[in-house]
Amino acid sequence: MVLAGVASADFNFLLGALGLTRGNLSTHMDRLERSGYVAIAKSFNGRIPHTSYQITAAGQKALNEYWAQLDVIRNIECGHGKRRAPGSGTGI
Amino acid sequence: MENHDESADRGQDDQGLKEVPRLAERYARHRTTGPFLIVSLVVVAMFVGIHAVLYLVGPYIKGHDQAIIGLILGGMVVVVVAVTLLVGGGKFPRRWGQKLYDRDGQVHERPRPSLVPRWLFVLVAVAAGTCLAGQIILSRLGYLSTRYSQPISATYAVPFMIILGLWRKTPATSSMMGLWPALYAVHAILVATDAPFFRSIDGGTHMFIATFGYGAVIGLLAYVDSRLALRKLRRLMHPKRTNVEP
Repeated sequence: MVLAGVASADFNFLLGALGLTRGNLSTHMDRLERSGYVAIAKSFNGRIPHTSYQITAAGQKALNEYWAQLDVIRNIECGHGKRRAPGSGTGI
Repeated sequence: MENHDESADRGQDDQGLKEVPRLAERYARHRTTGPFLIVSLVVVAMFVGIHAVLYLVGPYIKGHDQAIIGLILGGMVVVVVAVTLLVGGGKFPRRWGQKLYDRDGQVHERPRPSLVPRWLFVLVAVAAGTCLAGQIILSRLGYLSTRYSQPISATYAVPFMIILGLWRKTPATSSMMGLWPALYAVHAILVATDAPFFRSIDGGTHMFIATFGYGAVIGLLAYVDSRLALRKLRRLMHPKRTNVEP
């Protein structure tokens, strides 16, 4: 989701944004890369390794499908919620 | 079975997460003003410093104390040249602009397509440059009032700034820089209409306020907005879990 809004972001930025541990983030990003959703670019800033991530077209498409499916589920739940509690007074 | 309120809360969480790409984009875009902010602040500090020194040496100038005057003016020249070389080279503002965001890591804004063709930008830039040169020459020759130099410059500077913002070939500046032509124009109107506070300020100071002064303000606003966007993004990505999971 973070990568969907930017051209690229590095490991440190994602670490701070997502609040994951280094190992956890690394594992997640590796899996996303293997699925073709993220492209990884490794380089060096002087002697310090630098890893940058970019969402791919497949990744953007998968994210859009995810949001679309969530919207469908939310609409179904809202429909059930209305039928279940007609007098709740918190109608959507 | 979860109740209606819990599913509504989850819906709100999902809607909140949809903001994440927009917040990331907002942060990335506004952080590009880092180097610009540094340059503006340095120039403003120099301007204030020079005026402060001139105010302090005023008695010596009136007393014709040439040694003191020479010493202070010489010092000012050295400082101005040193700062110009430091800032003009580009490395200093880039390095210090990056320092504002070093701890956050690196993120790059998506490039956006230009909204106007290149030829229009070039045409407006050449016209603005010509008008600027013309204004300087005519002012020196006494044909244009220096008192109204800022409103006069607004006639070509504001269109140039607008076209520059629309052209934006590379993501070099925050979208908040669009405020600059607006502030420049409003300032010009206030000077041209001799608004109460504005009529007591000299033309050179008006020019300085409208360029570097407002530039620094907008740079600061963009910096603050980038921090707010990042803070909100982090809160969305690591929410506090107060609900007990079933």
